[in-house]
Amino acid sequence: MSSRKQPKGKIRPPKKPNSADAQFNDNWDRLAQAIREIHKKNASILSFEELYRNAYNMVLHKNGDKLYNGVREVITQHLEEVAVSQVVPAFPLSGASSSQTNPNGAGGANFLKVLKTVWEDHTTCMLMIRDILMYMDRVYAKTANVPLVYDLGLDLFRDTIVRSQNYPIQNHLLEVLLQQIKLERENEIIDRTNVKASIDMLLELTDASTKDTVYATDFENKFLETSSEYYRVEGQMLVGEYDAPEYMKKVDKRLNEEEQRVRHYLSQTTEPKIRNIVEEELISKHLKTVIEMENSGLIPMLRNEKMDDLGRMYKLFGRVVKGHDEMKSAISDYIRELGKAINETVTSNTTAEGGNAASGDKQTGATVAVRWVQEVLDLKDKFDKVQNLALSNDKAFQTSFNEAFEYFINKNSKSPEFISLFIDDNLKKGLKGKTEEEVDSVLDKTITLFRFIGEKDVFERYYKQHLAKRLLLGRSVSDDAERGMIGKLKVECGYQFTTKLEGMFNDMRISSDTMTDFKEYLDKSVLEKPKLDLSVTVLTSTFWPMNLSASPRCNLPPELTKACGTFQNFYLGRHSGRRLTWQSNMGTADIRGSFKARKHELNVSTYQMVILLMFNDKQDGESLSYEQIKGESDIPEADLKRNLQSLACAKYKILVKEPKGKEINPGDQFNFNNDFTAPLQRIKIQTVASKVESEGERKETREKVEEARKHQTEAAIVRIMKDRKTMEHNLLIAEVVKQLQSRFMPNPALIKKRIEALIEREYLERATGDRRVYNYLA
Amino acid sequence: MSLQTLSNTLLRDISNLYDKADNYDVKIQVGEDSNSEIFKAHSIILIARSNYFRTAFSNNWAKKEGDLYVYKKPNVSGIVFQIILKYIYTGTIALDAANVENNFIDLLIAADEMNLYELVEHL
Repeated sequence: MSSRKQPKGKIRPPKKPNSADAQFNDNWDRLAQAIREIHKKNASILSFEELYRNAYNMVLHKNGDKLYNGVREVITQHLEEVAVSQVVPAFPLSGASSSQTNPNGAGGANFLKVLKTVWEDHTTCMLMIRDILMYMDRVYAKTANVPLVYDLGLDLFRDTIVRSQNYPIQNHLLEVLLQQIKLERENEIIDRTNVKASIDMLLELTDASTKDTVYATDFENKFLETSSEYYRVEGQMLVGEYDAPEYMKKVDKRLNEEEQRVRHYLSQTTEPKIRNIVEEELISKHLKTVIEMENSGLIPMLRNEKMDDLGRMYKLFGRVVKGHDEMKSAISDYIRELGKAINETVTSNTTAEGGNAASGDKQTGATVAVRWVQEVLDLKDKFDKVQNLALSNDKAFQTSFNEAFEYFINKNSKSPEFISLFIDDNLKKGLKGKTEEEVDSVLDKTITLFRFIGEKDVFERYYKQHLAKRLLLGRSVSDDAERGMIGKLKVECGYQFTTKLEGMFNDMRISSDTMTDFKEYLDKSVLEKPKLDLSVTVLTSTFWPMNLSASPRCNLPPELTKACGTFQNFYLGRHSGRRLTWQSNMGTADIRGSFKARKHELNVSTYQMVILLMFNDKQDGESLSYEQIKGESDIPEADLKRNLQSLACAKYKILVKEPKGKEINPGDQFNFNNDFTAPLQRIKIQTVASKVESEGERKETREKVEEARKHQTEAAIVRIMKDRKTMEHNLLIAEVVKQLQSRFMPNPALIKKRIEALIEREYLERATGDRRVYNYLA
Repeated sequence: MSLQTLSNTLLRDISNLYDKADNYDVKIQVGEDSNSEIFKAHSIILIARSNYFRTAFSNNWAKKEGDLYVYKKPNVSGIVFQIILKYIYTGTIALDAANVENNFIDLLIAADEMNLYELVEHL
């Protein structure tokens, strides 16, 4: 342009045609010839400017339709030739009509290769044809509402080659494609490039009526049908031949392969469809069979903790609708079964023990409880691990596992007591050999079991009893651990649940302060000092599980009575308006006994002390009868028997009983055992104490629980009715259940009885119009 | 500098290529026989601005003499092509200029043939 000058003059306007027709013929002949040259790959001799101008002139002179149709004709003609000369000769040998597969994939591969070339040639040519007909596309095709020339080329290719009416190209093509895929499924190496080229071709062609791709209309359904059939057969073969882990690996591999296949040479739209087919044929249809495979199915995997296999199953089965449900229910059933077995060992143990339960087997009773809890915990651990390592911590599985645990734990009616005993065991001696963290983690796990208990109120009752014993007998190893446990319970059940437990703790703390003050008080006072060290624990009656309202009968020795009196004066002087009742059944005493061999310090219960002190006045060899002891001490009969048993029939025989025997009977005679020897200086006389409850005690606990439930149910009814004033029967029942279910599952009959009781006591009335509606009476 | 001025400088710099086509790679011969005239241009600008030229200089169709693209456009006069070329480089056309007014119809026809829709619409 640097050399550009002003033009030297006007150039001539374009030549006027001699005659329009001649011009048209001339133009068209050149174009048709050019297209043929393009088809012959001779384009390099052609001038773009000239051809473009020819086409432009034709369109400009209103010959667009003739041009368009002419082009269509030339291309069609060419494609027909291609079909005959290239495509048909490449047909694989087996013939298209037969569905017999060609054993040799090479023929098919060659056919695809030829088709690939034909297609590539066609598209290249069409691009060039489009170039020179650009003006026609822009001006004619738009106004005449016909496809652009390139799309015309695609349609012609579709109708002349792919769906040729004259030659069975379509059949061959589909058959070869399916055959190639089948070969690849059977681990033969195929040339994916050729397959991909044909698939891409089908994807580029559009079906005129559906407006969908020819891939979708002609190929995809056939592919899916064949795949369905293929995997149906394969599924049956695999379940017959492989064990569960192997089966799953195969399926995994198949899924992977199909995904890869789609990615490499099929349409992405096919991916979910083929996936569904494999999932349906290889997973859904064989779910149960695989889960239940003997020696290798789900249960054996769990038994042998095959986490990888379980994880694979979880992932694989998660792909289909019912998969996880089937797994869940199978695992839940298994948990229930294992739980049932654990429960059965317990019941068989306790019933075996039932015969001689009265005396020495309490220890084993506790052991049974601890073992039961430990086994349940182990089971829980096992399934937590499965959940964690194989099930991706799936919430739905967790829920179903929890239900299974809940089910069998509550099948054991003693579970609340057992769990409390287990905690008791850990808090009593757990710290020996275990760090606090270890105990804490055991207790944390125990809390998870506690959650499964339906009758939390029963647990609470036992927990209180066990805690009371730990506190009063000073058996609790760590205050922190106790408080930690109460903290955990509080988190689970709320403040209300633990108030009384905390009250018990407070009593212990205040008592220890009180005793310090009492000692100071004695030191400063002018009163005569008691001849014994008195240690008092003041219990608030409502917090503690025992009945503290009355003093049990017992004639205490005068020194003790006096000391108690001193304390009572001191205490009531500080807290007016309170009432102290002495619980001599719960105390302990350290006394010194002089035997022939040596002196021993004896740690005994208050009752035992009372009994032993009676022998102080007696000469050697002088005996006391059961009736004498009973009369003089006034100790309740059951307690007296138990304590005499501890002194005369247990490990340390401080008293000698006539006649000998394990049981205490009226008329028995007791002597002080002067010949008593023991290796230790300090001896603790264990009172034959209940650990696991006897049947009678259990019944009693049960009754107490029932009684408490009545009160709680009534309280809930009144609370609700006070709020709502009037309510229909079923709604009230539902609301009461809702309020109470965190503690226990009230049955509707019980609630109904309580409602009736409340009506009787005029808290409620039945509505006059409708007997199913209640009104609250303020 | 605002974005507007930045794109203005871009336009200015590209337009400058129209006047100083030192490193041209296209020779376009317009007009016929004795009236022919040669324009030098940059293929990259032509390709960027026009579908027609993109195709003409594509691998399938381009004719080369050495490193130069050569192209003949016999049915367009030099005066018309110059206006078109200037439009291609600068995006502007002086409708009231004498050379434009005098060759208006030819210009319109040529722009239409060469698929310069925007120019056609502008005219």
